[in-house]
Amino acid sequence: MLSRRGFLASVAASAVPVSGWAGAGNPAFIAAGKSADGTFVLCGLTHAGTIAFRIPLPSRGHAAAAHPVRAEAVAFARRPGRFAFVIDCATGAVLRQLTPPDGHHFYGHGAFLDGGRILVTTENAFESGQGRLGIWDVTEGYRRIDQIASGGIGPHEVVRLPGTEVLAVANGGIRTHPDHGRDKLNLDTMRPNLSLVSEGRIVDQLELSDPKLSIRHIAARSDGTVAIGVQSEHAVPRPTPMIVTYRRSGDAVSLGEEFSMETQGYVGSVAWSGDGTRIAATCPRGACAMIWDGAQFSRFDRSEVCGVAPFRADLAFTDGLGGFFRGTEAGRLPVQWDNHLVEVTT
Amino acid sequence: MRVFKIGALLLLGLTTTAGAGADVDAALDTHVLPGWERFAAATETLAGAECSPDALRPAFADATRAWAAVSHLNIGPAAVEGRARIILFWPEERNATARGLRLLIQQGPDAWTPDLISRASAAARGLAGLERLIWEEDGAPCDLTRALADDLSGMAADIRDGWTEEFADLMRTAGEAGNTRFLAEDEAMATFYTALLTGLEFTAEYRLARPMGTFDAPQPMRAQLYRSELSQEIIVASLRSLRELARVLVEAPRTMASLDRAVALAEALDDAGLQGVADPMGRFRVEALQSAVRDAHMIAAVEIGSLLNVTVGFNSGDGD
Repeated sequence: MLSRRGFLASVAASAVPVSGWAGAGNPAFIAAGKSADGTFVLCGLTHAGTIAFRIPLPSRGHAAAAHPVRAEAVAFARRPGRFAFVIDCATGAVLRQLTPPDGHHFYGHGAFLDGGRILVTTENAFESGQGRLGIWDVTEGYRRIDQIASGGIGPHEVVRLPGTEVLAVANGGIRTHPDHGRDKLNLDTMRPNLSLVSEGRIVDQLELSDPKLSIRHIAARSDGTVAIGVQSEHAVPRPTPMIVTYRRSGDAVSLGEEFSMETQGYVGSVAWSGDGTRIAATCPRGACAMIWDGAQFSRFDRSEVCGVAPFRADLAFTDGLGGFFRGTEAGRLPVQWDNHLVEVTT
Repeated sequence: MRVFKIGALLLLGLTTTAGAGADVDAALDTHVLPGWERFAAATETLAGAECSPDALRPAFADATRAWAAVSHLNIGPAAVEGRARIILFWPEERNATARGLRLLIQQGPDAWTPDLISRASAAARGLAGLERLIWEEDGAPCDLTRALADDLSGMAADIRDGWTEEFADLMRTAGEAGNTRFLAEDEAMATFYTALLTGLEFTAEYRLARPMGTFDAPQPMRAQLYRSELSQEIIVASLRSLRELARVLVEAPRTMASLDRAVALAEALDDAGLQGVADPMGRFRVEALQSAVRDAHMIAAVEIGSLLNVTVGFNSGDGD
């Protein structure tokens, strides 16, 4: 358990002055991708649509967590990952390599707490199959200090609810084991949930009525409303929600059943627009993103679209062809963007 | 106007980012649009066929061959509403087609309206459901067969119209201002290149690999549409169509030779329902075809990939 004492101790530790995000060429986003020469990279992207920095990765990345103050990002390997790199986004230097404890692997996402003093990583304790949140003390050079239950099997994305120290954890429900690569081992019994975690305890949990809907990607709005991007594991495709919204102790709202056949029931990423009025769910298998404005869906047709993040009041998207869309601006960069686009919030 | 002509050609040469000889218009006009038109026409004929095995079976076979020739074009209007997946729901698991049909039959004629059919199990709709009704039940109940054929024909017409009214123009205007679907011409080419490779992969790793199973445990009942003995014809029609696409995409002699070989082996297979996988000699022949299709895939990926110099994404093919 991450104890209250642990939290307080980390709060008390004063942060060492370090270079902030301005030194990294003012990136607004970070994203993993593949360069034209076939190598894997982590890039910073600017509001203007350019690449601010480009750092080589040893293998395919998945997502990253941007430190809220320092120009640092933690880049996660694609699951089942045994590495996460802390990268100095101003210089491109790899500051640390994070390795999960024996018997664990990373699931590809992480989040910062407590003004950037704590890093939380989603992990699989693969012999038991139990989901874990790894806790790392940033102020002590990303020292592993604790681990807690994620509240389910297969925790994938974890985000902090804005303005709080509460984590939302997407427990996808799907058991995997490194001996079986990426095979899904428990589709008949899967029970995904969204867990809210505060001070090391699970304080709220949402299960959907259909247990075959994996909860894997989430995004939180400033008021704590979580948007869930759903992935259907039904063998025979059927209409299923693509987005579910949920706020602590409230009712879940399901959206987008009418599109699930063409999107193959698969949402790759989800994000709120910067002004909090819209939710975008990217659907790379349907070559589109669906955008809910509170009353109706609009659609953005684009092959390989998968990354999405807030952009000013609007939304930004990246895709596997190199496309980078910012509000009404569009351009292509010489990197094939992998699953996620992560906003740098400073 | 000779000078002007040369100027236009030079300009064309400079703006064709997708490589020499690559031609999106040619692919659309000689391959894609005629293919969807044939499929729409064939399914319309099937929907209008008398409810007798003698009328339904050849019409079903025509529609299936027409489908095989466009089955690699699961893009744009074919992906809308999951149409391509519904048109031939395969591979199926857990006998989903039979279960879906049983439910429709239990529900009776009231459930066979266009609206309710469009919400029925994807596994019961399209060619998969029709094959069972036409080959195992001689088309009975006729109203259900008709309803499923109408539903199929409606999807085919919607795909054709989607291509002719919108999606073909989006591909032709790739790279023009306002076209965010295709930001550059090479993206339209990449779409066809991906379709070619996924089509070959699907035949090698699904249409052939599934019935092959393992040497000790072949799985003839997993062949695609083996009840109507169209498994081989589907493969032949698909490979011929992929060869046609490769021909219009770019001059690629090694790819053409490998596709010629795969087509010849498929045509010579003499195993309509791929049931020969159950004995060693038959399996050997199917395996030889599979190797030829895999070779064609490998050669096309290298040869056409380097000629077109296109980028192929990975987000639509995998998940996390």
